[in-house]
Formats: sequence, structure tokens, C-alpha cells
Amino acid sequence: MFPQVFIFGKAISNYALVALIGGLTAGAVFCRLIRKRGLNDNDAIAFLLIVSLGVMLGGHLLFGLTQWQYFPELFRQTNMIDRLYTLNAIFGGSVFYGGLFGGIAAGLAAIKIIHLPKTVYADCIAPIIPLFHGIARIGCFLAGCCYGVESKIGFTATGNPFVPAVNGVSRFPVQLLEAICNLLLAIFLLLLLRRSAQCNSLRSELIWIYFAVYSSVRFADEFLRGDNIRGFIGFLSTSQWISILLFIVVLIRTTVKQYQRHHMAN
Amino acid sequence: MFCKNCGKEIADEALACPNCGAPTQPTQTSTSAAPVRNPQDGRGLSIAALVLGICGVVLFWLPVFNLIVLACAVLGIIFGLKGRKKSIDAYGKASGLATAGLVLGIIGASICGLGVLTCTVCTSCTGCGIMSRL
Repeated sequence: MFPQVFIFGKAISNYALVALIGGLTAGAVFCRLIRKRGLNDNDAIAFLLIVSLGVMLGGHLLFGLTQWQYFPELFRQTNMIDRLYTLNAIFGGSVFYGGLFGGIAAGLAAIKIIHLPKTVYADCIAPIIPLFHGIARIGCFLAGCCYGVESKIGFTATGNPFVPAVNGVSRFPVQLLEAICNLLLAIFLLLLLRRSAQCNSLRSELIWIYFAVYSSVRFADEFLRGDNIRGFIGFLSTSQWISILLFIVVLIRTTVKQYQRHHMAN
Repeated sequence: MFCKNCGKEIADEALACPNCGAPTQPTQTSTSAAPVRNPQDGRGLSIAALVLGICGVVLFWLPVFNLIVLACAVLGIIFGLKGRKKSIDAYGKASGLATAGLVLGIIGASICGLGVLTCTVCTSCTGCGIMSRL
């Protein structure tokens, strides 16, 4: 809708700008949570930077995988400039789940390398993920690379440069819905985090609560998305399949944990 | 004040208790000196981070060269982190300079990153079209 903003005559990508604002805000909140627990916030910033790298790599890699049909063209081209353009087209976008798993992998590595307390960091990062994601989704809405289904309730885009077919049709603003859901989830998890100071059973559970709630919400609102080019396997989109898998992983982990708890009590 | 040994009330400026003779604690003003500067406080690293961060903020718009500036700003973040860690180790809390170095490093790299996206990778630009001319 509004993919660019003009600052000093230069067109700056709105998506990158909003994602940056989201990242800095979420990072600042995370550092405050870590400081309140008496830990070193320098380590927290180093942790966040490593996680950001993981998020960027993971998000773009998974997006590239969903564009697998363009890989042969990469090898067919001989000109370096053409190859660069094709690489930009294949890996230029980002998928949230790729970013999430890349960020988690990088985060676990960072915890090991810097010797950080795993439970505290896992609990504190749980509300930060939807906080960042909620703000970045607004950037998604502005960029226009993902959009909603045709609907009487919604906005009509006119200047979408990525997919011209989107223009002129009233579409449901599913990214704004996702943004609101994410921010509500962030507030909910922050309240749970505050509660976990008194309630021991919530410790190290927050990130799993996030996985369970987010995967369910994502599965549902994916039906309101109109952007089929992002990759479909059968009748469900890739994100919906990943949501199902993630939910199953949470179920397995909860079952195993309950069994262990039961076993230890006996 | 009161003598710490016998508890009798004595004059504030007394060096010893007239009752039991125990020396009083030296007053705050006689022991307070200028705060000692630890040479291992990572000041150089923080200043370097500050400079590299400012470079990132100021030179983000140079097409193609802002990749080098971005690399420098990222280096600024690393220096900022190291300098701040040294400051925390030396003084118990991060000095203002150390925090400023890290913050400027992060802001410089962020703005330069946006600049690279706009002016070098050309994901969204209406301007020079330098990539198409190469």
C-alpha cells in the first residue's frame, strides 16, 4: 500500500524501517526485563544481535526454499548481474517461521557460547517475539507483499508494485489482524512472565505457550490470506503445515514433561 | 556523633573518644578523593565504537561504499559491546561513554543497513539507478 517513505529525497523501504523500529523497541524491552532480574544487559544485547542474524538468515532461506521453481534459472544464467537479480528475487523475501526457527537456533547457540542462564532467557524472550512480530506485521501491511482475500470489509490497494493483480480490489487487512493478535499475545505473555515470579510451574513454559497459541492463530488466519504465491502443499499453505507440526511438537513435549513429572513423583 | 566503642556522645570532628580513647572513623571528606580512573575500562574501544557509529549515521547514503561503512558500523557494535563489558568489569556499572559507544554503534549500523538496502541493493529506490548502469 505504502511501500516507501521519502526521507531527504531517498525512498526508504517502509517494511525495513518498521521492522527496525520493532526490533529496537523489542530489544529495549528485553534488556529491561533482563536488567530487572539482576543480569548483565551487555550479554543480553550480544544475545539479541546473534538472534537477529539467525532470524534474517532463517527467514530469507525458508522464503528461498518456497521459490524452489526458480532455482534452475539461476544455473542457466551466465551474466553475474543477472544472477544477482535472480538471487534477489529468490531470497529477497522473508517467511516468519523461517525467521523464528533461525532465531531459536541462533539463540540456543548464543546461550551455549556466552554461558547465559537458559530458563531466564527463554522466559524473557517469549513475550518479545510476538512484540517484534506484531510491529513488523504493520510493515508487512504497508509493503503489500502479502495481502488478504477479497472481502467487502477492508482496504483497496492501488499502488502495489509486487503483484499488480492485487490493486483495485477491496481486501481484508489480515496483516493488521495478525499484528493486533501478536501484540495481545505479547501483553498476555508479559503478564504471565510477571506471574511466574510467584508461580514456579510457569517457569520455562512461556516459550511453549507462545508456540501453542501462535501456531493455532496462524493456522486460522492463514485462511484469510489471499497470497497463494507464497507456497502451497496440497490444500494448505506451507505456513499452515508448519503450524500443525509446531503444535504437534508442543503436544509431544507437554506429554513427555507430564510423564517425567509423574515418574519422578512416584 | 557517638563513639563506636563505648557509645558516649562525642563531638563530630573529634579524632578520638575523650572517654575511652578509641579513634573515631575518619570523616567522609578526608578520605574522599577524585574517583580513580581504571586504565582497563575499555575507554578506547568505546570511543572507537562512537566514531564508527557516527560514520554509519553520516555516510549511509553513499551508494556501494555504504557496504564498507556498514561493515565498519557492525565493527562499532562489537567494539561497543567489548568496551561496555570492560567498563562494567572495571567500575561495576557501565560508564556513560561506554553505553553511548554501544548505542551509537547500533544506531549507525541500523541507519547504514537501511542505506544499503536503499542505495546499494536498490530494493526500493527511485533515484540514481546505479546498479543498472554497472
